[in-house]
Amino acid sequence: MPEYALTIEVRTRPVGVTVVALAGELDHHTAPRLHRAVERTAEDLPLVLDLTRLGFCDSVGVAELLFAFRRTRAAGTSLALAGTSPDLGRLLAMAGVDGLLPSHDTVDAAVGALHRGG
Amino acid sequence: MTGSDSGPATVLVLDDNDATRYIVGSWLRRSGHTVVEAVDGTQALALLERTPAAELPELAVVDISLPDMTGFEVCERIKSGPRTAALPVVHISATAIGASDRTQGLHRGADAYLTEPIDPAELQATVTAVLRYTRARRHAERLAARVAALHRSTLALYGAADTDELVAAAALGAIRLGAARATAIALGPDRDALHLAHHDPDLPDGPAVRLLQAPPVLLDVIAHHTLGDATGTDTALLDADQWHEVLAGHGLGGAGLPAGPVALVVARTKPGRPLLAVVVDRDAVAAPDERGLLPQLTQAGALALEAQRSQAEEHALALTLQRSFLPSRLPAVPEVGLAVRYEPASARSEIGGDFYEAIDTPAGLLLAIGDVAGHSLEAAMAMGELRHALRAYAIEGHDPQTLLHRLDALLTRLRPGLTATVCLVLIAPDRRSVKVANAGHLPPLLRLPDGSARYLTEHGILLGLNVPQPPPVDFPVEPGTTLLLVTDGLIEVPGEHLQTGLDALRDAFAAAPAALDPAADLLLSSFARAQTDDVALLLARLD
Repeated sequence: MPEYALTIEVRTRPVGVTVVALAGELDHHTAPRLHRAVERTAEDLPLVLDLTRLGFCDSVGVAELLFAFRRTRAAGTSLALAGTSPDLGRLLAMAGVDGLLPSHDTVDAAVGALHRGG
Repeated sequence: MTGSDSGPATVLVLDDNDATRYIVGSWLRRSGHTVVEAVDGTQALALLERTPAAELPELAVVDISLPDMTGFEVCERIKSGPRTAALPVVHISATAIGASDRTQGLHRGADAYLTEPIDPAELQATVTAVLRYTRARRHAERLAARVAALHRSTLALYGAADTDELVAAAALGAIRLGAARATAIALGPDRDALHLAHHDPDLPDGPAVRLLQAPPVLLDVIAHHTLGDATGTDTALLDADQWHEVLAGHGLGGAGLPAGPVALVVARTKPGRPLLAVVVDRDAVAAPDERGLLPQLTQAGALALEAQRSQAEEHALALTLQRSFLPSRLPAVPEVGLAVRYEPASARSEIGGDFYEAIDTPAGLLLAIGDVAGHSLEAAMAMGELRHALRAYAIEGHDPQTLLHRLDALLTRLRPGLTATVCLVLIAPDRRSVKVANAGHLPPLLRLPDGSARYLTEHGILLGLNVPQPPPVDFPVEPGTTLLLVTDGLIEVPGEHLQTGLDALRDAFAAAPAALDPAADLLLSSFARAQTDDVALLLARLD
């Protein structure tokens, strides 16, 4: 089995929300794979990025979260984060983007919020 | 049918009957084969056991009824031994036997079965057919093994970190393809020396690859014998005199390279690019399959060299560009001391997009630090564009909030998809206050004359999302206050919390020397130890 620093799992919830679950490290080396994974998700569905098992995220990783944000915004849907760590929360706040990327404790809460909003 | 498929072989004849052994042996000798004899199974197996691999018989003629074991058992033991598994066995039987014995022999591994009375023509035809089949199979197996070796060598070529590793991989690759010794030659990245790797397993210094250097003109001589200026691959055969002339003319006369005759195998990927050459003994390219594989290896080497070269060139170009994007000098303004540092990311990683700037404007001295996310030539270009745009807008006298709006609009328009963080600090002309407008960058650090340090955390949103910025925040400052602006490469350590890095930086800054240059050096050396990202740092002291 190959070893991945970042694993990406994409699922579509029956309510019509795509959930992309990340585990591991999101940085300069792994960000391009997230980019491609996000690009392949259905454009017209809201998107949840599940960061519960994301151990590390740097500024390049944040740029990739923002790519997902821009993509959903352009398609007229929305994006929510789930399970953001306090450290990543601090990084997002420092970049001033915490208001654009609403974060929820669990995937279910994030899916629920998007489903109601959408 | 080629000569080697029907040529004479060494044949083992195993029969306890002296007369049969003599007759079969003499028929085979008459056809040119060499015959070794054994009288029972034990003796035959012992003979095979002690014979060196290169001298093993190519065929065994085995009688079915032997005193110590059956011929079937001898055959099974031959086929189950790793050294002899490929040795074909032809059974002969002295008595008339039924079809079941014949099938038993073939089922248990024999390649043919003859019954007495044996017709000499049938024996010879059978031996010829079995030899032809065995030799063709062995040839195919060797070719398959060499193709596999070529694939392994290609991987090694692409894994090479520099020219020396690459020529070493090419020389070892030629050995794996069957050359007894090999020399690979390629031009180094600075184009001022040829790198040679010579491998000769028979030399006393053992399996090591010897690395040598030679003047680049040697490659022109090799090109003259082969491709000239053309691209592709080529093979030239040089006799000992011609090869001696090539070596002696370029300081390699006493280097211990083979004296020739040699085969020069070369490849060039693009017009104008230097050749990659592999030199082997001329015999090594005699067989048709090896002639095909060596040029493929050389071609793979040339492609790997080209990949290595373009990577090095792109990195050097990006570094030069990045340097040219940074200010060549800082403005000299009264009552403000400045120190800046820029450290590119480590040599083998990609290019970053950090920048700093200091501009004297009518509204005061404007300091800026920024970071375009990503490690690419595009990030470095966007950094240069932002910095130049900032200069132009600043000279027009815009306030920091407007400057950030303009830069946001520029980035969104010109480089959609990129984001950047930028922190602007405008030092008032009277040096008694600073205005901070921070678009999502690490907060600036302020050190007060009493030695305490704190972050100015008020901030807006990073650039590239086309979102409005909040108004800048004013901070009064006393004489003797120092400002520190950094990019995240300084404190970002994978696996470590950001807040830990921020706290450590604040404490180190509070304890740093008052003089700016020693303080900058200290911060850089104590934080940016193994950074994978580039780092920019700007210190300003207000007096």
